Parts: sequence; C-alpha cells; structure tokens
Amino acid sequence: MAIVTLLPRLDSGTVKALTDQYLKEGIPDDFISNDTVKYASSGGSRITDHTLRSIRNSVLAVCTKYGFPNGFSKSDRGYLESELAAVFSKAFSGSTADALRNDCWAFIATVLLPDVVSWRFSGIKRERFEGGIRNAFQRIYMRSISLDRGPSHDDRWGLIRDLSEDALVQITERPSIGANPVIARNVAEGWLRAIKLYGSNSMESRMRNAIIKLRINNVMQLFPFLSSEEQKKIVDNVFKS
Amino acid sequence: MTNIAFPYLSIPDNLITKSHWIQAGSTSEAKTLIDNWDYQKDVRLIRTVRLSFSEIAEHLSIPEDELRLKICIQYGTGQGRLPRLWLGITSYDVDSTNQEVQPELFISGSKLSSRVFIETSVVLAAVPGNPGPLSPVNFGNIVWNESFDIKLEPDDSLFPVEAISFNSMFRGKLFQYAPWYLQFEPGSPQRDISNAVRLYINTDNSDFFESFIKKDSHIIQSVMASVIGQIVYYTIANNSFVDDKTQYGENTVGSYVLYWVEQYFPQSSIRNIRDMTELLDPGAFWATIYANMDKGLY
Repeated sequence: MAIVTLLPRLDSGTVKALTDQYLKEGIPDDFISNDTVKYASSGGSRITDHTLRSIRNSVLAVCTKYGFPNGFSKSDRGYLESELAAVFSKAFSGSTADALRNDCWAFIATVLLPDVVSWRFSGIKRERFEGGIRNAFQRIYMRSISLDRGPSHDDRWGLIRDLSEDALVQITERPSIGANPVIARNVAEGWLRAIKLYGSNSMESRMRNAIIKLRINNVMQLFPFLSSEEQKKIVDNVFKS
Repeated sequence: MTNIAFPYLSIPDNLITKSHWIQAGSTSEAKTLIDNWDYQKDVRLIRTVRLSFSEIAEHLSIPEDELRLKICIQYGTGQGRLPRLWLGITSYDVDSTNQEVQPELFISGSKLSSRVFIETSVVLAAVPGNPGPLSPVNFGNIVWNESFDIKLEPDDSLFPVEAISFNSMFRGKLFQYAPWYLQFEPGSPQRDISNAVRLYINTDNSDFFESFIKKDSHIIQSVMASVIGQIVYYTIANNSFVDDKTQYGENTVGSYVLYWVEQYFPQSSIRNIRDMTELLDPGAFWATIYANMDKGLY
C-alpha cells in the first residue's frame, strides 16, 4: 500500500487571526512554520518542511513568469492557473484525500504562500485564504481534478487555460457538475465547441442555461453511464439556443 | 428512493428487495461513522439487491422481453452534504433470469476524505421497442435510486463555537457582558459558512455558560434562533442576494440561507421575507425562526 503523505491543517480561527495580523503588519514574504497546524493523527507520514518549501518554490517559479511580486495581468489568468494546476496535481498526488479538505488549503494559502495570494488577488481578501471553493489555490486544485484531460493528452491542462473564468465557476462551483470529472470535462469540452459555433458574446448566458438544462437531465439520466458519443450529444444539445 | 417525481413511470420501493450495505466480513449494517478510520484502512462494502423483474416490467409498461436494466453503483467522497469528488461507477446486469445481484465496493482508504457517498441506481439499459405512453424510453433513464453515506471522521462543527472570557477578549466593547456574540460578516453569500461565522460563548457568565454546555433546550433554541435569524436577516437584506440555488455552492452562506428560508418560510420568496422584515411584520420573522428551532429544523 502506498504511503499517504499527510498535509498540515489550519483551523478557521487561526486563519482569521493570521489574516488580521497580515492586515496590521503586512504579509510575510516567506514560509514560516506555524505551531497551530494539526495533522491527521494516523494513516500516513507527515509532509516535511523541505517538501513544503519545494512546493512553494515551484509555485513561485510559475508566478514569477507572470509578474510576481509585481503586477498581475488578468489576461494571464488561464496560463497561470493551468501551470499551477500541473504543480498542485504533481505535488499532492500522494495526498489526494487530504487535498480535498478545506483546512489543508487554508494552511497552504495562509502559511505557505500568503504573499502569492496577496499578489494574485491584490490584497488581503479573507475568503482567498480560508478553505473552500474561493480559496486562492483550492479552486485551482479542484479544477485540476475535474478538468484533467489525462497524462497522455498533449494539452493536459488546456481546459483550465482556455475556458473563461465565468465558465469555470459555472462548472466547478456547482457540486452536481464539478464533483463528477466525467460530467465536468464533457461540459468544458462542449463549451469550447460552443464558443466556436456561437461566438463569445452569448456564452455567459448560454453557459448558465446549459448548466440548468444539464442538471435537470442528470436527475433523469445517469450521465456517467452513457457512452462518450451520447454524452457529447447531450452536452452539445444543452448549448443550443 | 428519493423524493424525485420522474416524468415517466418509475419502480416503487416494494418491487426492490435490498439489504443494507455491510462491511465485508461483518454481518451488521455499515455504521454511519466508522470508528478509528484512517487513510490506511480501505473500505469494503457489500449488499444484495433483488428486483421483481416481471412486476417491474408490468409497472413500467414495458414488455418483459424488451426490458433491460442495470444496477449502477456510484461512489464519491469529501467533506459536506454532497461529495466533493465522485470516484467511480460500477454496473451489474439484471434480467428475468438474473434478478439478484451482490454489488461490492472496494475503495482504497488513501482516496477517501471525511465521508463515503454511495448511490445505487437502477437504469434503463436498452431502448424498449414497444413502451407504454408513460414508460421511460431513453438509454440511461433512472427508474429507481437510493443514497447512503458513511461518516469516516466527525464533521467539523457547522458553526465554529468558541468558549472564551469576554472580559479578556472583548474588554471595553459594548457587548462585553453579553452571554454570546455571533461574529458574522454579511455581504459574502459565496463564503463557506464555517469560515464566515463564529459563535463566541461568554465563560464569564457562568450560569449561561453552564446551561449552554449542558445543552439546555431553551438556551440552545434561543442561541440558534439568534444565530440563524441574524444570518438570514442580514444576507437577504442585501439586494444582490438572489433566490437561485444554482448561484451558491455547497456549504456556502447563500446555500444555507436558501435552505433555511425554504424550510421555515415555505412558498415565500426572498422578496416576501424581505418585505416582512422591513415593513410588514418583523416580529413574525423572528417568531417564525424561533418556532422552527423548537422543531429542531436547523
């Protein structure tokens, strides 16, 4: 059995205390170990500080390409996040269960990479540090699970790069869509086909309608049970009109 | 079977005989909380499902020799009321000569986080040639389903609660002598509720504090009504808050507010309730919240 790597967990009270401290004293520009972190009491080996620092360095290497610690251009969002998805997918491949937990991502944003969060979201916005779907990095990791085209694909993280932020939110913040990679990838690939057919102007409303229709259909039809041709047909249909 | 009204005939519960999910090697029903679980412990579950095939064909108004069904088991994991991640699906053929199956699940512990969710569905596995007017006709149509989940670890508290001395923590504040204080930042319905809310209980008020930790029903009713009432009141007061569940993700403040509104004020829109709180009868708003705390609906 593979050894699970346990990730540090940070409770929401400590996130609040630390972000309050950052607001008063400024963001630290390095990873400083925090005594309040907890780990699962058993079931694996704790990640080392060396590995955490290595993850931090990998993230910094990507972010530096896109302007860190200076300005960030929103037009780089897709490129930045698709490259970070690759980093997180590799870094947490031995911690897939912990990486689904809010408190682990609260640690990564608040203790390991607070300077990157502040750079990416222009200041200290608490929801970007707290665990949850708005966490600066958890959202990217969840997208990497839902929208991974697979290691053999020559553009593995292209969906994260090419979909608009609005489309990604519609997929990954709807549990009935985003929690099922089969459905999520189909919708994302369908969005790329739809934008070519219908143009970008109508895509926000088209995507919202498509998601509503698909969620209704999923109550009646077991989408993952269908063949890939049938799945594609259903998705293309919901993007019509 | 869940409370879904399918727009076609579906299978009533009495035509499906099923056992509980049991842990492999055990004879008793899998518990909703597996003791001392950790990532090194895999989860093996098994159950028996038997379909009364002839009666089902008759009920679905599909000729028995045209009816093809599969039993599908989907399983997922993650914190919260819904899975964060569906991990896989397996399926089993059933027909008139093979009406009973024993679905078995093996899930590596290293893939599991907080909960296991399992959905058992019976689906149409072939398009019938001569269906009735109300029969399901599409490949993959769900004609029966059932959900089950097992807690692997205790959930974090929905409302983080902290017992502290207000004389130390909130000295000089106007509410220093209050029995409790809800820290809540309104205006962010997209935030996870466990992050957006924190309830502080004043340990300096020893009578109140003792009653709270002993779960005195009147005290808990009052505190929960105040907590939920404040969250609903201040969230819906913001005109940008919309009456649309699709806009708010799982465990967010918005999803909880809409859930509470649906439970406590059935058939009322957000606008109706906003009018009630602002103009018509604000007392009725708070009294309704208190009344529902008595029913244990939070």
